[in-house]
Amino acid sequence: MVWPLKIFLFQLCVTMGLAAIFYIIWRVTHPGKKW
Amino acid sequence: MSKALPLVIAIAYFLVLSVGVSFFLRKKIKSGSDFVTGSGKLPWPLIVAAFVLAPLGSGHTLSLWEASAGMGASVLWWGIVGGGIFVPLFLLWFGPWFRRLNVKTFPEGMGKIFGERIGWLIAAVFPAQLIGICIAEVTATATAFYALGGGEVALKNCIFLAVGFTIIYIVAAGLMQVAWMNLFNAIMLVLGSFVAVLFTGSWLSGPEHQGGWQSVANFYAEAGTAWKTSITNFSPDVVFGIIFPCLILLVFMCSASQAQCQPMLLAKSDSDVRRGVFWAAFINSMVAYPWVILALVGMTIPAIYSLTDAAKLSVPQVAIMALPPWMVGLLMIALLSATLSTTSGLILASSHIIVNDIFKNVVNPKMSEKTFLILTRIMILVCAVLVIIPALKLSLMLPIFFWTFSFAIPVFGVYLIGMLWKVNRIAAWTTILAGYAANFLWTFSHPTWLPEAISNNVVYPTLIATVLFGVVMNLILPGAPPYIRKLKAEAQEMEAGA
Repeated sequence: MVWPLKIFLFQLCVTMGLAAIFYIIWRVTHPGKKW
Repeated sequence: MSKALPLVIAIAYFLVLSVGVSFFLRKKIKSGSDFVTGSGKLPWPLIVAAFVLAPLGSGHTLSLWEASAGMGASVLWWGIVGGGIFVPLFLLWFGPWFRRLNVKTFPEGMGKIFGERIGWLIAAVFPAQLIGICIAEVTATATAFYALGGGEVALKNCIFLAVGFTIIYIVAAGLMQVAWMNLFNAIMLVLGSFVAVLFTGSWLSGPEHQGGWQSVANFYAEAGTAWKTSITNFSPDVVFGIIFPCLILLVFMCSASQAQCQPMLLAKSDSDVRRGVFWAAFINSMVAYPWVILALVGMTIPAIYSLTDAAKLSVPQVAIMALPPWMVGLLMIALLSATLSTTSGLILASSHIIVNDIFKNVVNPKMSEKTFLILTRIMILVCAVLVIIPALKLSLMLPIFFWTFSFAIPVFGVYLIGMLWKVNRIAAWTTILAGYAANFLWTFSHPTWLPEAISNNVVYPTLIATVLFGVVMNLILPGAPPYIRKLKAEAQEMEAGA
């Protein structure tokens, strides 16, 4: 795998992973609230 | 003609887009409120576009590719922190809080929580702060016009061009125009910059260069700087010069910025603010990527790295070398989409604060909607002119960002304490003034014995003073319950009433 692709995948996964963690925290702290 | 072609393509695109969107929206703006709130009826894709391009300017593009010359690909943590932390925090919590305050500007909200005098102070400081950031953004926009246009237009004229395009980005329909323009520009930003990376990859494998992406990695390995092609190089420079400042600035400054808060006024509901969170995170983070990759390629080419201002010119130079003129035009549109959207948002935010918080709330509370609209448009022109003169003289960009951004740190610190812990006006005043005092003290006499990444960065002392005074003063003094409780109670009352 070429280095720009490695960087791309790493950046994408870390960013979306962090966003997903915040999403889960929001869901847990706001039960029943409309998304 | 081929040298000027990218410039012609970019100018034509922004002219057509600005005039077209202005024409399309001309009848939708009937009052001053419509102009600054976009009527509050837009769906989530437009909220994402208006929100995500606001903090995404030269900090994500030009400053990062410049910094990558010294720190390598790890500067992309700026994008990760922005997209992965700041965006979700704002769209899921801070943005909806601002909407619940039921105000039009952030200083007005602070006035509601801590008393109108604190709102006046912030309304006086914030426009100057936003214009400071705007100066850096205009310089970046002008550099994009100049460098990608092959130097066909003098840099001074490029600054006038940048300011002219900023004005037509907002003057017809204000915030609603920003939302629509940003929607098109977000697409062009992602498309233009990523396609440029693909083109550069095929150029690297072509007869002119040969060796493909591996040749770039080999160059850095032979120079003993193989870490430049890795995103996991956590040197002190990267940690204290990029990751921490970015985290502090985006969370503490952008969350208090009117440029970030104003897109929240566009939304039909809180749900429309939240729903675009993953798209916004993706765009905010990933658009930094192509510029850094192109810069890393540029700095391996002898004709580029031997230039005097190589770090700044690396991307335009590699683009002119590797891409066909129409593609350079597309890349220019991408870069200008980032910087022009930010500049326009900042000018609109400054004008809105001046007219709403000073002219209307302080001087003439009975101001008519028509006068409000006229005054806001006049202030857009005044702010644009104020930006031109310093932009002609500016040589450093990242330090200007840090300095101007840091003025919002104590304000957001106080806001956060008031929302979640306790409301005390004396503690709020003391914390804000202590933060500003630390800022000025460090600016004019920073200690030289500290590592450069810390001693040259005013963000750290301002944050320390904010935390120290904010926590200690609120521990000592009594206060009203956290303001979020009041907002929740109001929301529940409204729901019960409905």
